[in-house]
Amino acid sequence: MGFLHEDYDVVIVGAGAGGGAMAWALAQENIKVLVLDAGPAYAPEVDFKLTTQHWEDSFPAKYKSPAVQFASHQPLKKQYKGLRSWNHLRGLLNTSNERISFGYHRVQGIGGSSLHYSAEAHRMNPHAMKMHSRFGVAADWPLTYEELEPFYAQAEEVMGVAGNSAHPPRSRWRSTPFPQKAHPLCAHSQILSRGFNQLGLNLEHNSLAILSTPTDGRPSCNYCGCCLKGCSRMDKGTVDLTYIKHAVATGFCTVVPNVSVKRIETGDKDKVTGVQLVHEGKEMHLRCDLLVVAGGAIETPRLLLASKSAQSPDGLCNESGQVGKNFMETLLWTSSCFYPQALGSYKGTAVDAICWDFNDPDAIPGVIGGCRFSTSVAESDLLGPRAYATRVVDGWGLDHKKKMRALFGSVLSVSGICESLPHEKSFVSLSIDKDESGMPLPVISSYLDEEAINRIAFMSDKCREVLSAAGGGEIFEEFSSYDIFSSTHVFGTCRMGNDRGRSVVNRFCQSHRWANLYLVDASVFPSSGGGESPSLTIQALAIRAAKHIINRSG
Amino acid sequence: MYRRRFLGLLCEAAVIAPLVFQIRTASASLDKVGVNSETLSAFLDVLIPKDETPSASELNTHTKIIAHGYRIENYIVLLQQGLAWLDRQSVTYFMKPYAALSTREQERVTYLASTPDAPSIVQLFFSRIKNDALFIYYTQPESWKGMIESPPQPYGYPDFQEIG
Ligand SMILES: Cc1cc2nc3c(=O)[nH]c(=O)nc-3n(C[C@H](O)[C@H](O)[C@H](O)COP(=O)(O)OP(=O)(O)OC[C@H]3O[C@@H](n4cnc5c(N)ncnc54)[C@H](O)[C@@H]3O)c2cc1C
Ligand code: SF4
Repeated sequence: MGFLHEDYDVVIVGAGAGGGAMAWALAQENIKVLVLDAGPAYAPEVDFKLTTQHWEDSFPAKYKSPAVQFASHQPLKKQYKGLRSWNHLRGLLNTSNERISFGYHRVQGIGGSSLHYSAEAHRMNPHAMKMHSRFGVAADWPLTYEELEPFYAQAEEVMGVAGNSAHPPRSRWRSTPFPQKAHPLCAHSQILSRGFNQLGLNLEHNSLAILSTPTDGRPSCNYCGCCLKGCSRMDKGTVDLTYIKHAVATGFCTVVPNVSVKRIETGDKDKVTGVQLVHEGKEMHLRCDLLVVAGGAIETPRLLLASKSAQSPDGLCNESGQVGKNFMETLLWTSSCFYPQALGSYKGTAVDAICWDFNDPDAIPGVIGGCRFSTSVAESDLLGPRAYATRVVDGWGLDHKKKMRALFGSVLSVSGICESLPHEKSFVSLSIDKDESGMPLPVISSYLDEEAINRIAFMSDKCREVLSAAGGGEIFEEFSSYDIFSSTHVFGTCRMGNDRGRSVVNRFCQSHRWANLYLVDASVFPSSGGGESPSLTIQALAIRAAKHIINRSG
Repeated sequence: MYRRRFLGLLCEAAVIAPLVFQIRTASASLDKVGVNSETLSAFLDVLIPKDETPSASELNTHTKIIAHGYRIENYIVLLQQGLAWLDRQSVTYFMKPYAALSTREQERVTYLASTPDAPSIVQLFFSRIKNDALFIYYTQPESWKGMIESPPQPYGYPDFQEIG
């Protein structure tokens, strides 16, 4: 409890991508930072199971994240029956007639969801940052790609991002080459790229926060494919092994796990004064001069809404009524099929190849918003015998065992992720139910309009075409956000903007009203992008916000 | 479960999902009498027989499935009802309980349980126990021969670029 008796210049809530990058950027400048996280610290060699017989288990969370409730039960329409999720052994994965939720996936702990992520390190497509002025949807980013670019470069350096400097993703100019050379494509991606090429499309090296060259005391990747299960080798650029490690090394950063912040307190002069926190079941108070909240696009609006007071009757920072609104989610399609030859398709980094050809917001015919396609054997968890036995290989008896050996490593899998646009029926609010600390649970309401469904339909068509053109056989499994909500990328619930009547924070992620409060996570994104993974952008925004804090205090 | 985890959790979710089905009154107290582990072991060996890798029972899949079943509501009753059905069919067709039949005879009774003509509770028994048995069996390294040699770390797959 020593941290309660010390003075800090800045208190940060959340040790994920946003909080970690902010802590690093401030500590470099000798600003004294305290980072609090509701979850525990992880020791990759001990906590992750990749060297054990249980390696196929999903990410071994040490802390049970608070429940997130799901409120939408959108009816499913017959005309879209081709967009349902299914598996050839199990039938429909959602047997009801309404959209269901498989949850919002994240990790609470030092490093946040980066412990579990695939390590894609993407920059936003600049064309997708002006969705309102170009198409009248979502909101424009109040800053340009040019303004963000130097911070992207810094973030890539810290995370150790590998990519193809000769062919960076379209539209994203770079001031520096990627810090690490691109990873070679695995066998599965080589085959898949034939399919893309057949259709006149390009499957390129994905940019990944995974070391291709030993750096910073960490080894290079050995291509085990298990990034989502927790990388015990520690070559994956997670926030704890990069930003947090270096922030702590400055001597200006203290990180305290297992501390939940349940309320933000305010004073009369439009200043945040402190936080109420819970540690080992005990409630405590911590005074703070400057507060940064980086809880992610669900937990951040939850905390703000739960901090309502006489001065902020609708929740903190909610003068515009935008806290919790504009929720954008992961819209995904995945198809997986058999391939007539052994490929070792379970080998390689999780997502080593990507197609950006439809990423521009006007690239999909007839709808607004782009998408990307990528290889998805690892993200579909088609990595080990257990997955094959229960999802891929049919039958039983000797025949099943023979087929297991024959089919193992002979699958292709491709996914699309597309733009998600705000909708009045998609938002985050507070439940009447509470967690153990008495804090209301968050409720996600999600709605897919026709445009969103059409984007999913486009991705489904393309995924099937690509598999077929690559020489793939029968499709055995498809997963769709049309009938199952299942999000890992969430955005928009505390939108940034220049107009304080329509946004929650300004272009430096600073609250319009509370001058000593910053929000640095994907809740501030005005639009989602056309399938870009958000973590690198969160980091770049956080480093930029840190610079703003430093300039203010200097 | 995924995008990244949707399908990843599919195997695990099925294994831990609660069971909702009608328990016949006569069987409601069955779990007090335990599971016929002879029939269970024989049944699992038909689903996962020995070849170049061990059979289900050689890797103790039957005891693990019972231990697993005690953590899930209705699971033991499902096991009992399904196994009792296998024994009844075996006696009807071959005048012996399931465990005493030849492998061919066991396969024929097992086939009956696997078809859509079987009572719905038996279909549920067959699909759920098969899924869970495969899950438990293939968690064990002895079952991996011919696919992978060891867990993915610490060696990884240096040959990841080679097709085949
Ligand atoms: C399976 C999976 C795969 C993914 N793959 C990719 C990928 O390849 N590339 C990519 O860019 N993105 C990926 N993502 C998304 C990415 O991980 C997240 O967008 C990103 O990590 C979010 O960072 P964050 O800091 O905003 O939030 P988080 O990483 O969720 O961190 C928030 C932290 O804040 C803490 N916290 C929250 N509320 C409180 C509170 N009240 N008190 C104290 N602590 C609190 C939490 O415990 C948590 O540790 C993936 C996500 C998942 C789940
Ligand atoms: S593929 Fe590389 S980054 Fe991913 S878990 Fe394996 S060793 Fe780590």
